[in-house]
Amino acid sequence: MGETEATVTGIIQTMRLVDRQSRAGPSGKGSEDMTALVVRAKAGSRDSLERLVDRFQEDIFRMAYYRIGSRMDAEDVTQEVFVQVCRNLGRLRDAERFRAWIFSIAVNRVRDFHRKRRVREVLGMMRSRQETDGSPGPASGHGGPLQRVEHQEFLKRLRRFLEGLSRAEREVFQLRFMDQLSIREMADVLKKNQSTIKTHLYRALAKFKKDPYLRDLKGGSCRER
Amino acid sequence: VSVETEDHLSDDQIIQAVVDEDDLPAPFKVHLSTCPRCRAEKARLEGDLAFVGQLARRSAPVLQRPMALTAGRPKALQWAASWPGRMAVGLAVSAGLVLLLIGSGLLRLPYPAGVQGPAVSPSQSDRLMAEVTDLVENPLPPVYQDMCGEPLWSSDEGFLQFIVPSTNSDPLSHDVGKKGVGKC
Repeated sequence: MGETEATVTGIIQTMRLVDRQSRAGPSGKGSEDMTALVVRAKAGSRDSLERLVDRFQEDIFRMAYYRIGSRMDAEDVTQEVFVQVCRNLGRLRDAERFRAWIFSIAVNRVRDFHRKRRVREVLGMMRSRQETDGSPGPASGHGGPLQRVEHQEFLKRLRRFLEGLSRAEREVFQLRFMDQLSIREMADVLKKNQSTIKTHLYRALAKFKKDPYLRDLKGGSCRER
Repeated sequence: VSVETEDHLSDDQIIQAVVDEDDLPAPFKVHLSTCPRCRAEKARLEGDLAFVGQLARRSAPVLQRPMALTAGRPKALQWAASWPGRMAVGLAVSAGLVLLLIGSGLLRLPYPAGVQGPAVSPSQSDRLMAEVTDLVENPLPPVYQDMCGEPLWSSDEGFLQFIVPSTNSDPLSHDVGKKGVGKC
């Protein structure tokens, strides 16, 4: 039991470290205070704005990718998010809530994307990029063949698990555990109170706990079911 | 509720602790802080969830296109580029051209009363109208129209934007729609 606990603690610590590093940006600017960066960007500093883009572009892209399933479309949506950030940053009330703000923009853009996709389907002008860019599989050239198989297996299991959740449960699960948002940030993003968020999260976790399909991955089992 | 060390937290309480430990009733919170088995159970679930997040990071493709940092076009230009904007601009340009042609004398208005226009024989105009009627009444079958003509709806992003306007509501902004705010 002690060994298991130590392993789990190690994973959580690694995750937190990865999380901090990813928020720090690609060039290790961890010590820089994000709020100060937002304040400077609001005041018109182009350099600060560029650093904010550096810090968040991967997070927003990943968030869009897991909701859209196409790399190219996710890149388009990410670009739209940053154009909107650039245009509307002056309207942000509280610089400390920049992260929630940018994710709320991203959530809206993803919703727009899906609405437009439905209209395209109705009008018969659907152009699916999923066929052309290999999505929603893992990135090409991302690790070796074994890693690619693992990624594909993960995506398959994740999709299957998420399909079993309601829309609200799926949204909070993804925001909490894949995008690493706090309960408060999720409440801001989804415009719901925190107890509602916790209720959806609780239901999603209850399903996660009962579903060994996704949890099995930790044991390294990629066997076909 | 009395909680003894042997009465471990249920699965539901473990989940509740993972969602937010502060929401647990006090006796369960005390138990959790002292019971290694329940702590390990909670840590195991947290570890599984953290692992999902880690895999999600690793399995996502790499962003290949660097994000261009532009403020976008000014609002007037954005409107002009939109589908209704294009129509309005098109109409304005056409009207301007007509006025220009009239002004330059290249285009003549209908003849004033009492002035005769060029004589067109009734047989010529009848023949033309017959051809027009023929074309209207016998259009190409739809399959040929699809092959040789433009589709009714092109995959135009501006048109889609007109049909499906963007969602712009967010609770963290203020001064929405105020002129001159937040332009970079």
